Formats: sequence, C-alpha cells, structure tokens
Amino acid sequence: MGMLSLKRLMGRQRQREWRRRRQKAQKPRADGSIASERKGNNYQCGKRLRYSWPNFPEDIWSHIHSLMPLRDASRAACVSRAFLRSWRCHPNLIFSKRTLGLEQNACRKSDISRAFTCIVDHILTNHSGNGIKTLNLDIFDCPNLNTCDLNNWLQNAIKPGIEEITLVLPLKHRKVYSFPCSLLFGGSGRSLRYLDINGCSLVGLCLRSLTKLRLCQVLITGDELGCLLANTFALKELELMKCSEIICLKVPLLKQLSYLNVFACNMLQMIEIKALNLSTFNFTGSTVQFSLGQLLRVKYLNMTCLKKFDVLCYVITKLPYVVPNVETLVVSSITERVDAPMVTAKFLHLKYLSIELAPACSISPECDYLSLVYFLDASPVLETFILREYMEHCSVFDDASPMRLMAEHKKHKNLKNVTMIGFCSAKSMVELTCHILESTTSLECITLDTIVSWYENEEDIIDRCCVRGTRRRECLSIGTEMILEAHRAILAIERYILGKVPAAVRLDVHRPCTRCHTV
Amino acid sequence: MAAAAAEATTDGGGKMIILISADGKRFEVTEAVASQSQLISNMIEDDCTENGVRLPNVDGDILTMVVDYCNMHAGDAAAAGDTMKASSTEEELKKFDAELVQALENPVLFKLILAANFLNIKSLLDMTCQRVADMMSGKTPEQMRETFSIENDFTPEEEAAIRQENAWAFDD
Repeated sequence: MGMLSLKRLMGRQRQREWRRRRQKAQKPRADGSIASERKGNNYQCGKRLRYSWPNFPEDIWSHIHSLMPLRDASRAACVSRAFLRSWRCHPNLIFSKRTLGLEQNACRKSDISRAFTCIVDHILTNHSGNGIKTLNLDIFDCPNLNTCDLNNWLQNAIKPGIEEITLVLPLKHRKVYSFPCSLLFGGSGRSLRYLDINGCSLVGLCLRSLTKLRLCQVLITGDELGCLLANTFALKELELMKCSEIICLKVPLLKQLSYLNVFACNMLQMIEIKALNLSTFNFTGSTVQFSLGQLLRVKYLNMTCLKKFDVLCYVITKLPYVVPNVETLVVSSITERVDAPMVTAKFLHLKYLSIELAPACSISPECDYLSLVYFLDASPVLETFILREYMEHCSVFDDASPMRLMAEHKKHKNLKNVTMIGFCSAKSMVELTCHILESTTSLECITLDTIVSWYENEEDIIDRCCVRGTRRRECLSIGTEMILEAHRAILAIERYILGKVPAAVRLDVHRPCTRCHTV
Repeated sequence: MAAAAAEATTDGGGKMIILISADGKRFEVTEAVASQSQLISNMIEDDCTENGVRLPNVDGDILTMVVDYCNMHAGDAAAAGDTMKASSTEEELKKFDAELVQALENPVLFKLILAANFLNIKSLLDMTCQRVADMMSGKTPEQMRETFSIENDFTPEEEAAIRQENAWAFDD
C-alpha cells in the first residue's frame, strides 16, 4: 500500500510538472494533433519513427536502463557511450547483498563487508551524483562495515532531488550509529518523499516534502519525534516500529496524514493525535490512553494487544466514543478474562468486524462466546462478522445443561456474512451460532471452519489441499487434538446447527483435510 | 476483454471521445478510459477533443492495443474502494498485462513504447520498458548490442577502462 500510494503521489507530481511544461508548449492545432517543444524526440512532432532500436530516443533508453537490476545496469554501461552516460546518472541505487551478487558466495561476514564496501565505493565514486532518486542501503549482513565508509556513501548519494532513502543497519551498529541528518537539511530534505530508517538515531530534521516516514528501532524520544513531525506538512503515512524510547506519542495537526501504524513501541503509554484526517490506524502493543474525539475520521482500525489485557471489554466499552465513525474494525487479543459486557454505546457505522483470539490466548474457560452477541447488538449496520479463535472449552457434549436462549434480543437486520474460523464444539460457541441463525433476518452465508489456521488471505484460510481445483499443495499441519476436536465440531454442527439454518442461508462447513488432517 | 470494454463504457460514464490513428482508424472511448493518457487528459481539460483526437504518429494496430490496455485498466481507480473486488480484478489485470507484454514482437514493442511515451501513459510505458529491461538483463554487453543493433562507439582503450570499472558485474 505504501509504495503504491507513493508512486501515485509521484505520478501526480509528474503530472503537474508535465502540465507546466505543456502550458509553455504550443496550443493544440485545430486538427487536434500536438506539437511538442521537446527536443530530440522527433516522434513527438507528428513524424513516425521507423523501427530501429538504435534510433530509439536516448531518454527512453535511459528509462529502460534505470529499470534494470544493478548488476545488469552496470554491465550495460559497457554497451555504448549513451549507456555509460545514463549509468553515471543511474537513479536507483539499491545496494544489498543480493543486488551486488554477493549472495551465492558462502564467504565469511568480514569478506562480505569488504566486497560490499569495495563495490559500493566504486559505483559511488564514479557516479556523477546527479539524478539519484532512490538510495537503498541494506547492510544488515555487513557487521564489519566501517561507519566512515557509510557516511561517505550517504554524503555522495544524498543530493537535492533524492526521493527515497532506506537504510538497514547491521545489529551491531543499531542504537550506536547516528544518521548524518545535516545531509537532509536544505535541498535534499525538500525533495525527500520516503524515509525508512532501521536502527539508528535521528535528530534535528526538517523534511517539508516527506510523504512517508517509517522508523524502525530508531532511537528517538517522543519530544524529538514531535519536533521532526512539526514541519512535515506533506506527511501522509507514518510508521513507528519498535521505537522503544517513545513514551508519549504526540502527532501534531498534519492535514495530509491518513495512515498511522504504531507497532510494538514498548514504552508507549499515551497517544495524542491531532491529525484530523487520519483514516487508517493500526496499533499493535499494550493498550495506551487515547484522548476522546481525536480519531473522528478513522474508518479502519486494527488493534492488536500484546499484553495481558481484556481487549474485547475495552473495545466495546471505550472505542465507540474514541472512533465513532469506524467502518472496519479488526481486534486481536491474547488474553480475555472477562466477558464482553452489554453496553449502550454503539458503533453506528461499523460494517466489518473481525475478532481474532491468538493461538496461545490464555482465555479463561468461563469466558463466554455468547457474550459476543453484545458486539452484534452494538453494531446495528454490521454486514460481516468474522471470529477466529482456538481455545479449550467445555464441549456441548459434556454439558448437560439446556442451551441458553437470548430471545429478548432484537434482530440483526444488516448482517450478511458470518465466518467462524476454528469453530469448535464449545457450548457457548454453538449457542452463539444458533443465536445468530435465529435472530439475523438478513443473513446470506455462514461459514464454519473447523480448523484454525493463520494466514493473511481469507480465502487461503479455508482452502484445503484435498479440494479439487485448489492451488494449495499442502495444508498446515495441526495437532491430533485439534483434528479430534474438529470432528466433534462437525458432530455438533450436524446435531445442533443444521436444523436451524433457514432455507435462504448458505451454510459452508469446512471439514478437516482428508489428506493432511488424519489421526 | 470485450466484456471489460463494454463494462467500462457503461459504468465509466461521461462523454465519449474519438481517437483517430495515423492510418485513419477511429476508436470511440469514454473520457474515463482515455484520461489514462495524460496527454488526452490535458486535452479534455482544455476542451479540445470535440472533433476527435488525431494521433498522427500512432498506427491503428498499436492504438488498438493501447485502447485495449486502457479499457482493461479503467476500472483500477473505481474498484480501489472495494477491496474484495479490487483483489480479484488485480489478478486479472496482472494476467492481462503479462500476456500482452509477453506476446509482443520486437517491432511492435518498439512502437508501443513510443506510443505510450507520446500519449504519456506511465503504467504502460513502465511495463513495456520493463520488458526491454528484462530482455537486456543477464546478457553480456556484446549480446545487448547484438539484440538491439547498438553500435559500439567506444575506443578499445575506453572500453577496456569501462569494463575494468564495472568488473564486479561480470561473472567470473
């Protein structure tokens, strides 16, 4: 998503540039054809160029050259003077073990560091320094790299016009190396759109054109980050990963900021967001304090809690006030000790709700799936509900008490799709399913997957390799216990659920794979 | 492909414009489809498309491919909001693009790049240029020159020096 939006933005920038140029150029003639004032490209003046590669305009050859991988581009420099010229201004300097061809050599790390240094030195010394747009230095595997060399490279490559900088340091240098921020004062800082820094400190920057900032394991305090952000007026995406010095994150009033990702910043206690147009917020960590009314525009919220905390209870009681306009909500939890309570606050715009209870989730056995009904009650326009879980519970077959009914509940009128991944024979799970079937007037499809697996893509989750026409070669292997439970779950579906499915509703039951999931 | 084109015409909405190739073939497309060309998009903004847009340096067979491509990609922006829809069409688009670019013979690829550059359709230009870049990759300088009939204008001394400078990129 990041790169795409970045490219889109760069496209827009180019368009503007183009328009400026075009306005200077002649107006279209009456017949609609256009004469361009660009020199050298006679094909643009209405003449057709005969097929002959050598006659190809040099700027297109340069563009083609810039799209080649580094090694190939370097070899192409030996083809002709024109190629050598374009190599001297090669815009994409992507230096990694792979692009330099050091991957196959099973040499020692010190040798890799030496070979890496030698090649990069060579390329940057001979490069004109003009036209560099992307600098990507992945030196993770070069622990013996001299930081003086690194500083020299950055100095040679970071020039006005640079748009993207990515730096991945070896573990040894992390938390020690200090990025030479002075390189980004002035022109280089102005053209920079994307900065991805892994593992160094970063202080005192002013980056007015920056649209995407990604800091991973960067030693920066909340105050320092606040200063950095204060002038990044063009910032659209901000990612902070494992920046463990931030205690209080203050995001200033950045009008363009629409995407925020905060991942595992362990010391974080408070988040204050003044960016009014933030629409997507991913938060992974222990829960922090949010001030009310700050996330009014957020439509997509993904909240993953890493510490022991009753997330579901927090989400249903607090979030309707914090993110009143949320449309998509994904909640992941590792601990639930209490049931979700009945609440009066509502998610008035929520259409998609996904609740994921992690595999190692220590959820108390008394925890009641049926209480998730309160989430459905709190989301009147909900269309899709996905529950993914795996936990040990008292099976419906071991509990003789009668099934609980929630008859007094109002109907769910918008819910169309329900998916339960890791459907088990737990009594409250069966009760929840029965309740949804009986009280949802709009239901179109209910999917019950008896195996829980962890994939990104929803379709991959429920695919089995034994199904004809699937692309999957092999299913995820699971323990005997889960296979046995899956068979109990199928029994529970046949006995308690099948009879309650209305004729208009499609029931998809995903059984264990006949090939991989055998006992 | 026909279905995709028809769909674009119906839900792309807006005015139709006529593109006229060098050999006089006429193509009727919606503004939404044509606007993927920055050149035409600017002409639309400047209101100079009523009598059709003459493209005197693009042949009919090349323009057919360009229009197919634009029709296919016209849904990109519209579908972006709907994630489910976008992901399924994305795969179709990838397949379409891969087939389009793989099937190209050198002269056609050559003309298509020029057309994409002239019409200023960035995604098509990048895709076709990438194809040429891929054709050059893995080759020695001699093979690159041979494939694209490029003249070696270095003196022997210059060539030796530049080869020495890029020695790291040659397989041992």
